[in-house]
Amino acid sequence: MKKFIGLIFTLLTAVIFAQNKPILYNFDQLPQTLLLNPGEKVSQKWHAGVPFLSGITVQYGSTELKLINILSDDKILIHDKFRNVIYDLKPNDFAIINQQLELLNVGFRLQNQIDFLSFGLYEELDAIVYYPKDLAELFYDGNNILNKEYSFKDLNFKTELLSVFHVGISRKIDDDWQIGSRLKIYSSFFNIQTSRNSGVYYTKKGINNPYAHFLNGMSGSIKTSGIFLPAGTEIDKFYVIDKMMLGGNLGAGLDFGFTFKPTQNWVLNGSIIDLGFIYNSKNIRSFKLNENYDYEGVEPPFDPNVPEDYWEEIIDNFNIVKENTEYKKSYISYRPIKINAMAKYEFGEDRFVDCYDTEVDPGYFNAVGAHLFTVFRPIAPQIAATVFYERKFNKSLRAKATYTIDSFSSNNLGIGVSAKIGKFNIYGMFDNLLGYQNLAKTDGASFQLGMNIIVP
Amino acid sequence: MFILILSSCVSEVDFNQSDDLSFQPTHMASLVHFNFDQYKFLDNSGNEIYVISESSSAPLVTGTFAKDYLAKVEIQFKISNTFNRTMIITLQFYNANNQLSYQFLSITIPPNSSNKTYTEVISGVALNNFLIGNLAVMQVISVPNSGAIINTAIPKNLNVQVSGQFYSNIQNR
Repeated sequence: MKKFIGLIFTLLTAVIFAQNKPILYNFDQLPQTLLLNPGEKVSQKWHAGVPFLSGITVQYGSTELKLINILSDDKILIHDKFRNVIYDLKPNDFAIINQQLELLNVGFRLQNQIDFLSFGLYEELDAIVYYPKDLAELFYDGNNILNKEYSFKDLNFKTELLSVFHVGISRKIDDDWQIGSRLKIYSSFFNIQTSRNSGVYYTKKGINNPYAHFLNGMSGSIKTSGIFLPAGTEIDKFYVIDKMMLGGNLGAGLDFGFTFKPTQNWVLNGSIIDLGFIYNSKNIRSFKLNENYDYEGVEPPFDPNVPEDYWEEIIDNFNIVKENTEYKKSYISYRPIKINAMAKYEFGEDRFVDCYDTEVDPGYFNAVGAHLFTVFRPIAPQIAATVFYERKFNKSLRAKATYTIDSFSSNNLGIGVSAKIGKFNIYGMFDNLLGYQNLAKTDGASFQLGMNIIVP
Repeated sequence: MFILILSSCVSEVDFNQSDDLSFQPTHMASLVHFNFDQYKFLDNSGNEIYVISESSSAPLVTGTFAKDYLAKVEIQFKISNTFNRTMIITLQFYNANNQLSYQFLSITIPPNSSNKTYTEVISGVALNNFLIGNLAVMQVISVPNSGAIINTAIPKNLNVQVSGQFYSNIQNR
């Protein structure tokens, strides 16, 4: 039961910074910024991420629901608090968990000196669940209100676990322009998704019985791949390695990006990420429901000459329905497309290093800017806007402070630090700092950590 | 920054409350209905039949949810009897070993009665016995009424509607 409550809480918890990495974006020419914008400017000769430690990302958050909504230490019964949550959340509230682990990240400048090639492999878990308000109320209270319609249209969720092989090029066009693209090959461990459902369940006064139960206007499907595995399948390290190394359902995607310096001090920068799909053809098991049903109970024949097992009849009918609703057909799942756009103004020239060499871009001590992020989700895009201040303390240390606002939160402060000790780089970024004062009250939090070897 | 993270805390909450978290959904469902006319109580020779029975497998619980969380069941019978004789309905459940596991109280319906309701509340140990029922046997007994015979020319009707209210108590265990 505790697991169940944990699951409910998790499902009701919504991420507001999902896949949004405003601190990491365009920060200190870190190798990982190329995954957010393949057209990012990079100046190093080569880099290599520390395997398994170069990029760790975990993100979560909440809209209406915080831990304290249910478990606040007050005199209110938890039953009442839980009920309030069930009824106060809205269908547009959603939950997202996004986690990424970089296994390999290598990049080097090509001989032509204008192209920077980078490639690697990372694992990603991405899940989104919109709050199915009507169905949650049905589960919570039961169907004890006659004529109340419980809609299936709010049933929207998608979860996938995949590995991503990627190779990209960032090309310097001239002193002002840098463009880039990245090819991705996806190998999906599993996918489960449903959206665009319709139909209602309701109970009303019956003709042959006090109650008549209806499923009306049903239209929808739940598609799965890699969830229902053949009997005897063992999920061990060999299974994981196989799926990781292109043994899963495969797909492809592209990233595009650019960096533009219209003036010496201004930088404009944008990208579109994960313009891709996965063709799910292995271990498919999907379900659809497109018919109407009504039920008023069974009518036994009471006829010894007609020995009818009406319970079996119900089961048989159910199985017929089940067979009709279950199907195995390959399907395409699309990756959530992300769009980034950023403008920043740099000031305070750094002349300590190259004060006699005017040919070298001196860099700046300070930068302020704004960043817009959008990720396209099944119901509506999620948008976040960030303003930031970036500070270069010396050759080895940079920091970035952010303030992010979106439709859920207006008090999200973040900070990131990137330090270089020789060729070794370590960075850490934390979002929603105010939330760390009391995690029970937090809207959400995310962090990215990593280590790289960067050779300038 | 790391000091901030390390000094973060979770306060003003009481995790022990989760032990008290519970909710009680109620589901209502139609179960069985039948309608007997005067012909139902006569055989092909026109002789009255006094006992009509029906048996069927009825695996009430196939999953663990009901066993774990179902707290109470109310089975409601709504019966109209326009016959000029008393009707009795019995309902018994047998377990997988064909032993009687649960028996409803016999329902006696007086002659010429309309929309009579009878409710059987099942909880506790009785609920467990009810839920392990695999076979349901229902009998409709027509109590002979001296001097009154069933006349096929006069429409009569025994209408039985059976529905249930299922009360769950979902809580931390």
